[in-house]
Order: sequence, then structure tokens, then C-alpha cells
Amino acid sequence: MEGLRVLRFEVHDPFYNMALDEAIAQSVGEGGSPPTLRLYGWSPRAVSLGYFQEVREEVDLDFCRERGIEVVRRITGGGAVLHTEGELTYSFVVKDDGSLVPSDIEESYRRICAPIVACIRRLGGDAFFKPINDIEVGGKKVSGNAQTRRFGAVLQHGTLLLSMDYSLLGALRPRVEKLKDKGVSEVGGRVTTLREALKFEPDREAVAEILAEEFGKVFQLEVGYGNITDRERALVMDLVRKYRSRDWTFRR
Amino acid sequence: MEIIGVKKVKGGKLLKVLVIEERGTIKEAKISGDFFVHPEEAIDEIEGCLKGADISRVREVLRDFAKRRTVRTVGFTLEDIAEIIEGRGGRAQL
Repeated sequence: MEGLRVLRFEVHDPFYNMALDEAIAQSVGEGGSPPTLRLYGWSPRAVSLGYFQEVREEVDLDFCRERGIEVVRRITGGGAVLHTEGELTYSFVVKDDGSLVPSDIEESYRRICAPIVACIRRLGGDAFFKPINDIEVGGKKVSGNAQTRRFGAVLQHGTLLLSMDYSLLGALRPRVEKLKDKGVSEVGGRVTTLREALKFEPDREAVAEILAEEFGKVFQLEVGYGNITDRERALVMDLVRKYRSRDWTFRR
Repeated sequence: MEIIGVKKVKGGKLLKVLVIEERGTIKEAKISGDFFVHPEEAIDEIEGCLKGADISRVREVLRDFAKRRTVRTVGFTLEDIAEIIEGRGGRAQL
């Protein structure tokens, strides 16, 4: 059985987090790293923006500045996400050769979200994959996911919400269009957490371990905890500069 | 003249296009939203192709682009971008 390198849950700053996801994608694409699942958290808190989003449309920059919330742009498309200590984040990277992950994008979201759905179900939550890129419990979003394909790799990263301080959602500017469509009046009305769904808050690192097991099962890979390579470490150093730069964050 | 149009595409995602047009020529084009396109840089390149193009030729510009570059859009097509610019994508105040 082929191996799945799992990078054990660690908390890092937003720029390092995005830099390491990209570094792993490059390294896996080059053939220097095996299929990889990385589990992580964010400190300080941050809003991550999709590749195509306009920062001023999505983020209340004053709110973020006052509360020490950083802003970082992802290399993946999709929507803005507020990352706090109540979230477990993952990134999953494999070669983009159609062997582990379907080449069809929408199918591949379903496939890579399957272990997350299984993890929530194992914890007792009635989770469903909601195309294109969400997972829901009770009709509310508990996990958002975003994918890119570059360097010859598929990188999907996403969130699993354990708890949320809803007062911090002021960091995101609500979009009239989207809310009207869903018939809700505030951003918080569309999301839920495992704490609300399960009536208890599971331990973040314990959930991370369950998630790793479920990824191993779905992709039939043997889970082995490992470390980043020297090549990845070198790439991260450069990439952190990009993610910290105003040019990158404010490019749209 | 500034043309701002948005279209809601599959999955409730927003595709927003801003075009600044002067005497029939596109001076500035900006495409934004929470959609997915692979490779992502294709959107930057499309903005570049639209800049300087005749506003009446938007559809052709996008078709030519799609011919020479493999672009995978998720839940919409490049035609949607043309429709927004032509004003048939439905306008909305953001």
C-alpha cells in the first residue's frame, strides 16, 4: 500500500500556513514528496481571501485591524473565510495524474470531501457533501473547501468548524446578493459548528487524528506521520514573503 | 463609461465583471468573485486580452482565448463573462 504522509496538527501564522500549502503542492508535483495530508490551525486569526476576490468588497479592514485579524490571499479560488482557534484546517496534496483524485474538478471535490464527511459522521453528526465545495450539517455549512491544480499537483485545502465566536464575523462584509438568495439576513445564519451539531465540542487534535484515518481509508493509503522536507522548508521561506506582501494581498 | 455586471453561477457563486469603456474600446477589465478557474492565472490573462479590445468583439476575444489556452471553469463558461459585459447577465448593485 502506498503511503500518506500526515503532517501532525500544528498552529502557525496565516502567511506560513498558505506558504506551506503551496510548497507542499510544488514538492508533490515535482515528485519529491508523497501524497500528503497536513492538519493545522491559525494564530493570529485571519481572513483568507479567494484568488479572485476583491479585498475591500470582502473584508472589513478596520474591524480586522482593531482586533488583530490578519488578511491573507490564497492561491485557490472560492470565498473569504474567517479562521479562528475554533477551526481545524487541512490541506491534501496529490499528483494531478488522475490516479488518486479524479481529473474532473467537481467529482474531485466530492472525493476529497468524503473523508471529512466520514469524520463528522463518526463523531455523530449527520453530514452531507454539498456541491460544489461545501459540507453541511442540518442544511448549514460546517466545512468549506477550495482547490487548485498547479505544479502537476492537486491541492485542496479546507476548514472544519468546531466552534465559532460569531461576533468576529464582522471581519467579513456580508454580500447582499448572496444572502438574499439564501433567504438569511446575516453571515452567521448560513454556517454551523460541530459544537452546535454534536452538542459538545470535540478536541481539535483528536478530530485531526480521526480525519487522518478517514483520508487513509478513502484513498486506501497507509497513514504515516512525517515531517516536511528540506526542499519544502526552503520553498516556504520564499513563499512566506509573497503571502506577506501587500502586492499579493491587494492585487484585486 | 463604467459597466459593472454580476452573474450568479452554479453553487451560488458570484462572477463580477467591471469594464471601463471609452468610445467603444475597453480601457480596463477586472473579473472578480468566489468562483473557481484552473489555472487561476487565466483570469489575469483574459483581463489583459480584453484591455484594448473593441467592446463589440468581447465574445470573439474570449473564444480566441479559449482556443489557444486550456481553461477549466467550474460551474460557468467564458461565455458568461461576455454576457455580463453585453448586459445580459443581469445587473445588480453590490
